[in-house]
Amino acid sequence: MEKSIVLKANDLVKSYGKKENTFIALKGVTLAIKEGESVAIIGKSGSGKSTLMHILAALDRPDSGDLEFGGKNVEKFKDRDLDKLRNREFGFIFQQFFLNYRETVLENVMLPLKIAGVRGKERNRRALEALAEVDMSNKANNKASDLSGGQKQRVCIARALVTEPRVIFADEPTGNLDSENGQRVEELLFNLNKKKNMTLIIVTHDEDLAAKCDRRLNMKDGILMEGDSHEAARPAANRKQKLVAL
Amino acid sequence: MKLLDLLRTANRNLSRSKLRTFLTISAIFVGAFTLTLTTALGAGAQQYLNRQLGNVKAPGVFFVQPKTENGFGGGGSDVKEYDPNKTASGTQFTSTFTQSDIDKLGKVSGVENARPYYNINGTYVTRGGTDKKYVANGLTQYNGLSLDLAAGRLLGSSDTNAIILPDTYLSPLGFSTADDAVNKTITVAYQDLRQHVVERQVTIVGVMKKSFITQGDIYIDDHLVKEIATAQGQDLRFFAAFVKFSDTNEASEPNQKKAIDAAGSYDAISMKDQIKTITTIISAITTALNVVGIIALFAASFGIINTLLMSVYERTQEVGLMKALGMRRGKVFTLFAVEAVLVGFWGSVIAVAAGFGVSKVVTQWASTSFLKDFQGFDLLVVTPMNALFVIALIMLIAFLAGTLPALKASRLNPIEALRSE
Repeated sequence: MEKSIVLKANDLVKSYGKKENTFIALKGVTLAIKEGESVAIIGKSGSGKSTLMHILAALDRPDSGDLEFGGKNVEKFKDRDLDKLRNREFGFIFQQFFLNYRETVLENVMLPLKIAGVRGKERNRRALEALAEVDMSNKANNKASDLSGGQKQRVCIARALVTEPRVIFADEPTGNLDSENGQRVEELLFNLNKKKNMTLIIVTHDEDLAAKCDRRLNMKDGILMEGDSHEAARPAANRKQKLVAL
Repeated sequence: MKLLDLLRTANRNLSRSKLRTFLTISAIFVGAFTLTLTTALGAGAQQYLNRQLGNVKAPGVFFVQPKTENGFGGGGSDVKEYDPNKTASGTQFTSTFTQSDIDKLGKVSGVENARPYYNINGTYVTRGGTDKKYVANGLTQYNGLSLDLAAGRLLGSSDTNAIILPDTYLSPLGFSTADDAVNKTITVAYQDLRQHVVERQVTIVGVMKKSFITQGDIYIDDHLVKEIATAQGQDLRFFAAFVKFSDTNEASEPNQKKAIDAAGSYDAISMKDQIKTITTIISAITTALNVVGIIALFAASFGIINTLLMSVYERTQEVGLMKALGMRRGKVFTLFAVEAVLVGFWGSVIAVAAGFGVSKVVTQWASTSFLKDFQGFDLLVVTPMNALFVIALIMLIAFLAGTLPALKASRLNPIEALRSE
């Protein structure tokens, strides 16, 4: 069965700064990501991979180009709808965790549900479920500061999946972890990806991690390079990009 | 995010940096405490006045005097023509009322009754069994004000030979308590035109607390007043009249006043007007004091701004994360605004509670020292209305102070906020 496309970007352009200092981070990126796919966006720092992720995750708007989520044109969304989209359909995992260390593990995991306005009991139940998923149930009432790095990232994964999103964005998820903990986090992510059919988009410069994904998108100087085994997902438009870059 | 969650989160954020929150609340406390005490002072004075003048609101009742000419007789070449309708009083010409004026006032449309106000003089009061006599020059016609009574009741129009006695006369006359004096008979005496002392047996119907407004007045009923006035030759000319309208709606007072003015050369003062001067002075003083409190609050509001701005800087990443996870801008604003309002709330609630306690102590101390002679004068009174007003006002000020940091937080760009260290 052909999988449906969850995220589709067409000719995304994004620049920062003004006039002479303008830095063009994305120079026309076109891509399509299917439901349940795991995709690695790799590239050196400054290649525009983070910018691309921010735009795909509706954290930022492109200067031009279109972004579709589940067939809807996100560019036409109001801020309110973007907030809702990120809250309900996307999960986020960051290299620096961004946990609130004064609060308990459970409260940290609950945050997206709190923001969504889910009430107490259900919130508790769902957060505990998510913690069970990452094998952290026994730490639910610990302070987030008492955890090891690997445990922290697992809590972050629980936080990302607590709203049962369709897409999880992971920004260097293993960047702050030793190889053993990194391994465990990777396993968790790919398991979720397979088991729950959650689309996984990982931004990384770790070639090993990228190799484990279904597909890798190489970013260089704001342009998406070849190196993608799924040609179908990237139609002719990509070749056009190359021309633009030249 | 639900409101309850916002409140909880805000409260938790405040308890994070306890010292800072404590200091900010302290600043609010100082302003709120000042404001609580100044409003308490105003309320205390007002309450005392109201108690003294009972029906400050005696709508439809006017004290009417003939129009006076405010020319000073002495000095200058300003010699006035003799007018048989006016009598000289001191350096001023004061005209007086006759029965025809009373009749005229009684016929003004809407007037229920008009009665003369006699200016009488008492000589002494005494009580059978004691041969001591006590000066009673405060013998006065009862003017219908409700008084602050220690016992008994007020005078009614059907009373004869009845009296309301100030409590200062109690022990000289041998009464142990105010209740003890009610319904007892005492003797009042006055002098007639031939300097003969006339004694009258009167029944004490009520005992009133001493106050600065009633001074040493001893109120007697209309019938006895008229008898004394007749004996003292005051029955044909009175210096004022009481006019009572049947319409007791306060809003019609201006029209009633006009009606009296139109009836002749009269000056009508409502009961409300009479105490206006005193209340104006009191409210001027309390307003000035309140301004001091507000200035303190104004300074404190900068403390709130400062505290919250620091908090926004500290929590940039946290705010960034919440925004990335889909928190609405408005909710971020509300979160910080709620924190500001909470600071205001706690500061003002603690201040009002402290103000309440201090008011009790100070009032207690004052009533046994410098306010000894003003019975029933509670110097500082924290009324529930004022307490709520102070709390609401401070929460509002706190909210306004919180808007700047809250706006700053709500406008944070999630990507930049997460990147910040």
